[in-house]
Amino acid sequence: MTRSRIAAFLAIAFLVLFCFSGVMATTTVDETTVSIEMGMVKLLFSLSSAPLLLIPLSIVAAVAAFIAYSQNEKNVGMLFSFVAAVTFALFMVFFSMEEKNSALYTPISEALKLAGVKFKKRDVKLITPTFNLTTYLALLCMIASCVVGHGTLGRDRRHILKRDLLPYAYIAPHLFFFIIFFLTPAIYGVYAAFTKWDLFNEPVFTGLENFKTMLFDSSNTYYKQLRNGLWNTIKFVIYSVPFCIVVPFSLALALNARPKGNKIFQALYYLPSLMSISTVTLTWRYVFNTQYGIVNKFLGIDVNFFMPPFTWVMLVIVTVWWCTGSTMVIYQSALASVPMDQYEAAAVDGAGTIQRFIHVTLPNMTYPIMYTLVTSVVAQFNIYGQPDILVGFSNGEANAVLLQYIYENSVKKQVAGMSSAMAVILGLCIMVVSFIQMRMMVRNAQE
Amino acid sequence: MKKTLTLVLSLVMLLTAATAMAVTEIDYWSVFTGGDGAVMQGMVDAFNASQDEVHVTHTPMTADDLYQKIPLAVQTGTSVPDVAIVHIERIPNFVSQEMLYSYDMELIEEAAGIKAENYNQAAWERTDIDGEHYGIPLDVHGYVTYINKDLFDQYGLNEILTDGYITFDEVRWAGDKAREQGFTGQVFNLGWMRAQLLGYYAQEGDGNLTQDGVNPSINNDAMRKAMETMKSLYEDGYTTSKTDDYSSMFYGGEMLIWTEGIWMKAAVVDAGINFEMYPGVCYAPETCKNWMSSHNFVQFADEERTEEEDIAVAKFINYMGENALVWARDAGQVPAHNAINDVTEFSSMPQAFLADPERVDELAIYYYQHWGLFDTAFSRVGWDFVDGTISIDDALVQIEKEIVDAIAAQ
Repeated sequence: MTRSRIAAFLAIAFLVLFCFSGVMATTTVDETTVSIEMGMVKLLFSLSSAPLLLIPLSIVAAVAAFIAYSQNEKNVGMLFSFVAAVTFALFMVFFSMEEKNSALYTPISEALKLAGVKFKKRDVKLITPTFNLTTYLALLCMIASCVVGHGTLGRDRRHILKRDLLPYAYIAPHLFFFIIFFLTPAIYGVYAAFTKWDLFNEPVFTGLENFKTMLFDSSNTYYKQLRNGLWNTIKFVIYSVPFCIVVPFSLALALNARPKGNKIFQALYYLPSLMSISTVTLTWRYVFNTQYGIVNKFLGIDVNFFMPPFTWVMLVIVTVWWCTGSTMVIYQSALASVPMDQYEAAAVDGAGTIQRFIHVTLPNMTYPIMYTLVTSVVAQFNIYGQPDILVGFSNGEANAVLLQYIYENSVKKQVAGMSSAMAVILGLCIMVVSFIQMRMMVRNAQE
Repeated sequence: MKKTLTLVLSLVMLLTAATAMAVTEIDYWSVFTGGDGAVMQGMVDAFNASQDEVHVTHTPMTADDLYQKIPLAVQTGTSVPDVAIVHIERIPNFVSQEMLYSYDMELIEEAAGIKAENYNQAAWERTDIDGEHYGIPLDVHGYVTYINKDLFDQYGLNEILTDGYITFDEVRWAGDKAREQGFTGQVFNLGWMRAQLLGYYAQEGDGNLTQDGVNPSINNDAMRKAMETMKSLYEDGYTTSKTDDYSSMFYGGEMLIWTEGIWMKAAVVDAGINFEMYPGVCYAPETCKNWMSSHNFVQFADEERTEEEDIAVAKFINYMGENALVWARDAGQVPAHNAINDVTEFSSMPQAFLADPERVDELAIYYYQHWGLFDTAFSRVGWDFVDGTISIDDALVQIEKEIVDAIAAQ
């Protein structure tokens, strides 16, 4: 067996042993001593205690090490083994040092209640966790994997190391934050979708119960919320995305003609993109105010934009105003790169302005348009701030989008399991739509 | 030798002084922002200046922010405040989640003289749960009625004020009479729908949101009547509509009667309005109730808090209670500490009637474990049942169902 294979085996052994590792904790209240033992996987999904965030890093690194060793990339494998071992060791140190170990309070309090002792956090003395033997074995495997995987580098040691590891050094900072702040919460979020969770106590695994309720129990509140929220989100995407493409494209075309003061206009059009959505919507709320708003005043009309059917008009205007700048600069950049000789050739052939636009400009803009279409659809599926601040849940929830329900259910009503299940469904919808669009984009590029 | 002795003595004195000056640091979170926040900060500063044993750091935030941050702080054990202000209706839920410590009554009475008889009983008794006490009230506050005295004089409407109560029939009468004389403004407003509705709901039946303590029971005749009352006032043209800026209308002399919180008193004074304050509008004087709440000092669970800090917190709470006159004067609230009731300056304030022990039955303080769920569910239909987007019966069914489903999913 080669060293790579042994190292790969040890990396897998780490992952297997991790599943069987655990923590023990003991505490005494009113002369009653209770002990609890908690598996590492359960601890990981208890969604508490900051040092636990190091575990996903360790697992991802261990998997990466295994893949690298399997490909006989010993240096890369060694790097990831090292990262996995260090992060896991750091987790063990920080978790042991944590003075207020909330991850262990719930099982401790339950054990105390069972022992007939009234539980109060202040009565519980310092809980010091001790790791079981399997945990130390797992750590040992990862260290061994790192040592065994260490390649023979010969004289060009530094050069080879630099060649093999430098690319990973470049992406390391991004990868670190991606795993901690995106991948880990995303995995937790998906896990929470299969639980009953009030954000305060430990989540209780309920399997597909949340999805069953939301998708099939027509009398349930969340069944109605999912349908209403998702349908309103789709309606908003349909209403807003065409304008989010056409308006910035038109402005980019106009600016591309280099009219006088085009730089000033470019800055003005881009400015809203720099503002926060709260600022934008609060500003527009005054603009559309029924009694004192400038829209009604200057147009001499008496329209209540906060009542259907005008609410959608208002929401689209605000959104387009906000997102135009960032899309416009993409189009400007693409328009600037259209070869002038194509226009000149078309002009020689007698093509007019419209024909040049259709036969030269548009074909050259296919890729940026498809790209902005995908990003706009994803962005508008994630609409939240505009309807939440401008109309909330009023008018019979006529404009309530899914993210509003998700936020309200998780944070205000502490129905986090159901709320996570809604988020998973929204995520799946976005993935499906994006996948179709990406396929179309690839096909267009190939043509 | 003499020099050495002097040096040793100086060191001993220095150490003694340092020990004597040890200050207990207290973190205090409150739901007071804007004008109320400034008044509260002033009170905290005054407490800090009044003694040198305890130093309180005040962190103001909106109520929504506090109710979102507190569970995370308690769960992680990080940055848990030593004392915080919460609304009384939130306390049962915090207790059921074991997020609050009960007060050690012997300790706080001995340390700071805090005891039940010093406080407004309507507020104090609500936080006695299973033999433990969880909240010490700073104030009681509620929804009342402001009238524009100049407009009342101008249109001859004062006769409805003689008994100290304003009924719904009198609102209609006043509106009709003023409009007959050319008044083009609005008569009354629908403002904070939940507070108004619960004030009316408490006037009929037992005024409870639950019968078994857990599940909601609001689909009843009393609630239906309260909602129909609001709806008919709107349909008959006596109230503002959803998007009307009713406070500006009252400040601008375009509205006769304004129902609002007592905390807006300072703003009304600043606006230069000649006003009078009355209880919330009622069906009849004998059944009159005001929706009330109470800001309570509570201590969230924190295993690291020491007895020394508990004593410091008790001293702070007692100081705030005994010196709450400024809270009444500048923030318009009704202090819950009985010491303020006897102060002449407070007795002459318009909101003082809410502290009258003989009118304690007029205070409707709601107390429901799932208050947060009720609040959220009601806010969805708050205006929709008035403008007809949803029928009253459907709204009641929807509110109850939403709360029941949320309890099941938590």
